[in-house]
Amino acid sequence: MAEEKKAYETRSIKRLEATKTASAYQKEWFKSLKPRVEAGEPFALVGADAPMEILRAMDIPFVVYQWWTAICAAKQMNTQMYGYIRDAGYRDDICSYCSTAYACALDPHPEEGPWGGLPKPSILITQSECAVMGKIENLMAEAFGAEQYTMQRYYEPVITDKWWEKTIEHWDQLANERRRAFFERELRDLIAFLEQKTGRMFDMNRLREIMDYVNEQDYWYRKTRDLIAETKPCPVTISDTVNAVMQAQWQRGTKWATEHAKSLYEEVKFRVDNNMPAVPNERIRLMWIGRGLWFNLGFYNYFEEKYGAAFIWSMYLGLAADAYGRENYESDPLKALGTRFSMITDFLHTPPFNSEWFLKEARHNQVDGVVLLTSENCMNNGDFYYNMVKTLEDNGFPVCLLRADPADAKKWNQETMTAAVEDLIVNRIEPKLKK
Amino acid sequence: MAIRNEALSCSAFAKLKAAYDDRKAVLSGWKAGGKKVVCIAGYDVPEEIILAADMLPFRVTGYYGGARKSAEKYLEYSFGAIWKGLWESIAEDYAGLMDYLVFSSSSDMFLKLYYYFRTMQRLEPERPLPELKYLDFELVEHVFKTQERNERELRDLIETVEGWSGNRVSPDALREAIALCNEYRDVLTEFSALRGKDNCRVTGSEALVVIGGSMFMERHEAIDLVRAVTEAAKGWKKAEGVRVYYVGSPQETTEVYELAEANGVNIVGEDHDMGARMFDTQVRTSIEPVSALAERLLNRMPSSEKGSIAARVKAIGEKLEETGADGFLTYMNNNDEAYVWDYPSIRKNVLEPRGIPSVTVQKQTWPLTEPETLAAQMRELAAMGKEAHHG
Ligand code: SF4
Repeated sequence: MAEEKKAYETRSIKRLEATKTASAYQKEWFKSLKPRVEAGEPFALVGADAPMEILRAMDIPFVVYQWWTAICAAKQMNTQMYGYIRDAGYRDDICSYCSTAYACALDPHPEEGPWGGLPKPSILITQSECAVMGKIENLMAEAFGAEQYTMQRYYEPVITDKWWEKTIEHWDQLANERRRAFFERELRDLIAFLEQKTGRMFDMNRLREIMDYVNEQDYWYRKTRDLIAETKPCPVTISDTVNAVMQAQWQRGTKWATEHAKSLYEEVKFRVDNNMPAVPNERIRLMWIGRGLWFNLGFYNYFEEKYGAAFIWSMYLGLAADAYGRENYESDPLKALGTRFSMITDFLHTPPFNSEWFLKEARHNQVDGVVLLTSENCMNNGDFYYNMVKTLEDNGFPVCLLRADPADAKKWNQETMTAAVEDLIVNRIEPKLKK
Repeated sequence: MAIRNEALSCSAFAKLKAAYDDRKAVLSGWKAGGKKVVCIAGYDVPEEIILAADMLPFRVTGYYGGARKSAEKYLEYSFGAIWKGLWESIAEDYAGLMDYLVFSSSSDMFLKLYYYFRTMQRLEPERPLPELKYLDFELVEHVFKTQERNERELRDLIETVEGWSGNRVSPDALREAIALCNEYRDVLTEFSALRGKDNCRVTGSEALVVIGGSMFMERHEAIDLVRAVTEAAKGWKKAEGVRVYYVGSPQETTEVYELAEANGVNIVGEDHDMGARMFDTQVRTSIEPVSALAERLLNRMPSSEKGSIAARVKAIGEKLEETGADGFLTYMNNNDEAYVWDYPSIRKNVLEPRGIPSVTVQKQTWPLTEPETLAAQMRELAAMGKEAHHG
């Protein structure tokens, strides 16, 4: 029975110092943010696909509102938050991933939120990845009294096969000149807006410094990803890496984040060198595709203990390794940055670029199967799962599709979800391993 | 009340209805007749460019009536009814009939479908899919760079259709096509005056047939038939029912409107492109034609999916004045629910100050699985609308 109870443990086991230091740093950073905002400094709330490097170069602090959802979810606060949305006449059963920050704006006691609550932003910068997001952002801007700045998107689908071989050294081949010029202009327009709004001048040399830090940070992520991929049994699982990476990515382009990425690598390497597997009885390696299960990172523990099944891959480290770095940018930092911030959606959500990358990562990480979380209440949810499943399964990686809300704990059904993953392990992976 | 006998006995209406009811027959007929056809999936593909290349534009619609086996197999649950239907039409029902298909960024789902079909061309090369083109317009931000961007997309389309047709799209040919389409929109506007407050002669479902049917025929014929129906309809009995303005998921068949009519609601205007939004803005003829086409894209009523909340509040206020509606209906298919985020602002800023009652219908499927519940909601709206009108 004691073992069964473990299935309901929502907190993950924190094996790594890097995870703890990332959380501690973030908390401190947040603490220092509040007085700055209260003293009248600009503060931006941004979408996950906004070009954060520009804000960093202008020393404008920011919070990514989807990441804020993750923080609130991890603190088990989201269900209460969505109640504020319902009370305001909206539906609390859709778009939870993108609406938490709006809920915070409606919260009568914002100071009781995580880390003392989200400060009131003065600027909202987004790319409105989907139409609904655009509307939620309208509401957020109004509720916070922030000025909304929306960058245009442009989808000309010219990225090549094996995009991950181009991102770092040959980013100029990711998009044609028209698309590169388009996003460069979007960045220049954003800079002009921010300069006017904040009175701060953008500094290209500062951006170069930030780009260098990002490149170094992502170099360490690549090494970490490769080390995990090549080491059996695995030194760490995604319960260790998702927080460590997501929080440091938030500080992307800083000395601290770069050093943190290096320390993460060193810690993982230490575990490898000293034969310290995360799951000593590792028999099965699993890949988790989709948004993080922030309110329940302990979900994975059960499978480790019962089946020796380790979740070793998530997009957070994989994407940090393959999608962010841009070398040889010196002559044109804005163009290089443009190919980063505008194309993450292509890499992750656009067929066939997403499925090809997942397949490459499945092979490289030597996984035995894949769990694919599809976000239940997201209307924009659709990455051509048919194609993803087919691509993976045709190449020997069985896939289990979970349909759930990754942000709202109240809708999570632990029994059903556990049973679905168990079915993948017991009925599809284990028979293969026995052969 | 539904489509009334006097409409059905009007020969122009009957011809429009025949095209509306059997769109595939129209496409097959054009194809068999040796015409080059460009199929359209999106509400912002300018037909003018296709006509100027001497090709025929054909709107592919989503309310495919049969079983949606293919859509169920390939698409995620996040695709609402209309998108699954559109998939089914393209992948199965119209297979082999379409040579070219142009998507536009009118909805995020058009982009997804474009990508999915592009991937299908790799996955299943034997499947008879048309050549694909995507027009990536910006439709929300009203600034100069948007105009420039959209003009560039239009020039790309011109180049593409020139390649498809083998005909040059000259400025003169484009001007001629613009004049023709403006005339088409004019006659539809004149027809729609018969949905007006003081002289309402057509029901919502009749209007859908006339507007929709006219899309599936050559423009000259459409103009003649719409004119003929307009003349005839002036003598039809007044349409009954509480006057309601509709926002939300496009209605590509008359079923929901007819159900509304049977329960005391007459839809007198709508913000979707199978109805009044399709022809709500003309193309300026006094400026360079490509600029004029790009300008129209931004001058249209902001769409329910893409428009900002502020723009929607403003536009809905104007439409309620224009139509003299006594009720407001928000209708959402399951997973087609962007509008849900507009509604509280519309209610507060537009409906409450005017005392206009409203009903919000959510999670609808196609075919309708709970018509009784929907009928009850329509009756509720009718009762509230009547009270508001008289009170
Ligand atoms: S549809 Fe999905 S991506 Fe769009 S706002 Fe909702 S949750 Fe976010």
